[in-house]
Amino acid sequence: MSMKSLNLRVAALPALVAVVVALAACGSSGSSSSSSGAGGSSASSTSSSAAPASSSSSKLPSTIPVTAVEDLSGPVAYVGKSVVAGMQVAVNQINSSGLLHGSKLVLTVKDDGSQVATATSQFSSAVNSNAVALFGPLLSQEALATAPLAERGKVVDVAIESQVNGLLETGPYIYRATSSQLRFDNLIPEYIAPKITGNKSVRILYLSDTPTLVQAYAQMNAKFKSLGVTPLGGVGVPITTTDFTSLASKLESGNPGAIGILVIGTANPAAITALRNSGYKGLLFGEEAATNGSLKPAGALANGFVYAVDYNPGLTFPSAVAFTKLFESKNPGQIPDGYDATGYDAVNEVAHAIALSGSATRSGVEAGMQDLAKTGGLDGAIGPEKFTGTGNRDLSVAGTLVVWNGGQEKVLKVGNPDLTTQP
Amino acid sequence: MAFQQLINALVFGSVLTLFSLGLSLAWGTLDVLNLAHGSLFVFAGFLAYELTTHTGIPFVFVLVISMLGAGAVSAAMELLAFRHVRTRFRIKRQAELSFLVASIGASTIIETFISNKTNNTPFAPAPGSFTVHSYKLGSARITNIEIIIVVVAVIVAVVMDLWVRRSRSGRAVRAVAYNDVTASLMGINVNRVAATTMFVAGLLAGLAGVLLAVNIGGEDVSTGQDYLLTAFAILIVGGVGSVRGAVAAAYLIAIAETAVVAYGPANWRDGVAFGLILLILLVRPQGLFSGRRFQRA
Repeated sequence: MSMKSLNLRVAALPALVAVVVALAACGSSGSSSSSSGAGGSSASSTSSSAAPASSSSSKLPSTIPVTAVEDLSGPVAYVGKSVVAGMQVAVNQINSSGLLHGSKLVLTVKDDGSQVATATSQFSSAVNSNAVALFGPLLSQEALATAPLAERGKVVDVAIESQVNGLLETGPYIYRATSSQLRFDNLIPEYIAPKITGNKSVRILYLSDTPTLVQAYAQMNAKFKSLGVTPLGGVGVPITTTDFTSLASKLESGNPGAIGILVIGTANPAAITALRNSGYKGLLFGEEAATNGSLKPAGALANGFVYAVDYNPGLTFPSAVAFTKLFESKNPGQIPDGYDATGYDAVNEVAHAIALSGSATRSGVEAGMQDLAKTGGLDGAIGPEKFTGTGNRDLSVAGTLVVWNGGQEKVLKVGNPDLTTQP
Repeated sequence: MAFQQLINALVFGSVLTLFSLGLSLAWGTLDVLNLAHGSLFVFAGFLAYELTTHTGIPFVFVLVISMLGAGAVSAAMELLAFRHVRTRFRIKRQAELSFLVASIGASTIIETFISNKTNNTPFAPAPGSFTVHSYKLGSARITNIEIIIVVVAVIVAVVMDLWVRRSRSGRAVRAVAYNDVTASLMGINVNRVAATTMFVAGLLAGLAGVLLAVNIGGEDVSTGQDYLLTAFAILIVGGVGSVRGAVAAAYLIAIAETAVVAYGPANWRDGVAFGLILLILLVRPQGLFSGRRFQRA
């Protein structure tokens, strides 16, 4: 090493130290970012970037900023938009209800474009802002990528829709606002089993590369068996399957009294169409992904299809009725769906946590969420909701059994809200 | 069940034939590996959905309009993108990558448009726009739409084969495929042939798209991509540019995939089908129906 290069290195060292100290000072200031990530946009931003001013009449500040990073464009945009619509209804209601003693909840929404990199970047900005709680992105890979950021920033992250394993294990600041369908899927065999006439057997089609549906298949099989219905075995297919005509013959072999279709999106109407066009007349049932109008393309062939969801506008819990009426009044001509309900409830959970703890700091929100879990949850758009499971941070709801008829879902049965998993 | 699966394979093979013929035309003639072909397929299904949902137009006209729509978009891709690439890169090998990138761009635009319009939810021609009837055929069943798909596929394959081999315009297409510069010197309007070829390719994608949308009862933007990979395999196995090869390979792959689904683990469908393709290529790398080519020293 020459003397010249050594001198350069020595001279650069103080400069480097100064830069590091400056960066550390910026990082700890908690300055907010009002920009959106690459490819995304701020769909609704009513917050200022200044730190919230304190209200003189309450411990809570006059404005309480929260941020949602959601998929408003891309393959699940229709889910993201519904979630945000529900959130905005909740924010408006909370701010006019006096729940927070005059303090105003201010929601900033960012679009991550269904890209993990964008979601991570925006979430990171949100963690570094003055937001006291965050609502995480929808896709499981996004949720898993952003949860550690919330954990490091010690800010509550309410995960929306993602049911992936391992998410809540990231740490105590991660909550899940969507109940796993496995908690209420047993409503389906309970209903279907006594209605099977003739051959008391069932065969189930499921997506072999979707962990939740593999579990749902195993759970339903076991439940049918306990109810005296013989499982004839399952047919696992990859998520890329679009043509079910060949599978229809295989599913019908053994003449099962009922056939289950545990698939996602367009595969639902496609499988139903294939089975009915092949002449199958027995009972058909599915799972939660059949909701949100997915069955419409199958027309009358989908009539009688039974599945379980978390929310339906026909729910009669007082809090669910109140939500349905409120949403319809704020969005004329629109019928709320489960995603609207989830967004509404997620914001309410955070607002109630703040009200319980009396603090709008990040640690106060986290303490309030735990208080909410210990006091039995809340009555939300989906009815009575409890936090249970890992660290009391996993949502549990009663579930609703529905049947598709004439282009609409009709409620058949509601699960027991006192149970965290339907038997 | 075997007879039913044979019928299923016949129908599936017919869908693959209709889908692949358009791709074969573009690739074999113009060296355009059109990754937007799957999007054209879905676009036609989307047009059919919109027309049947918002108008009372009879289904036959819906089919024709949807095909024309897909054909027009395909021709537009030629006019706006592929032609310029062809002009800029006189050496075909250099143009191939640019064709690929241009087609990916076109595919993205089409799919984003459809996603926004449908909110990424499944769609299909409105129930009642085409009434599906099921008929017993011995121990099996077949529907009217499946019969239509098989008959149309056979007719289209025969017409395409005759057109390419026997017609004046078909000879022009083959001349352009062999050497577009020489074809141009012989008086063939290469640009017009290219635009017509892409239009016909789009028409075929549209035809397949609408018939499949009715048959399977639901599709979304990703449906076309699922067929695209299989279609490329068909063209490789059958021999690029060979109508007869594409037809034979389509039914061969349909039989293989149907057999795996019906009698084996269904989630091995793609693995077994592409394993078969690899085996065929090991034995005959130029494809089943591609003739030997000689190059003078």
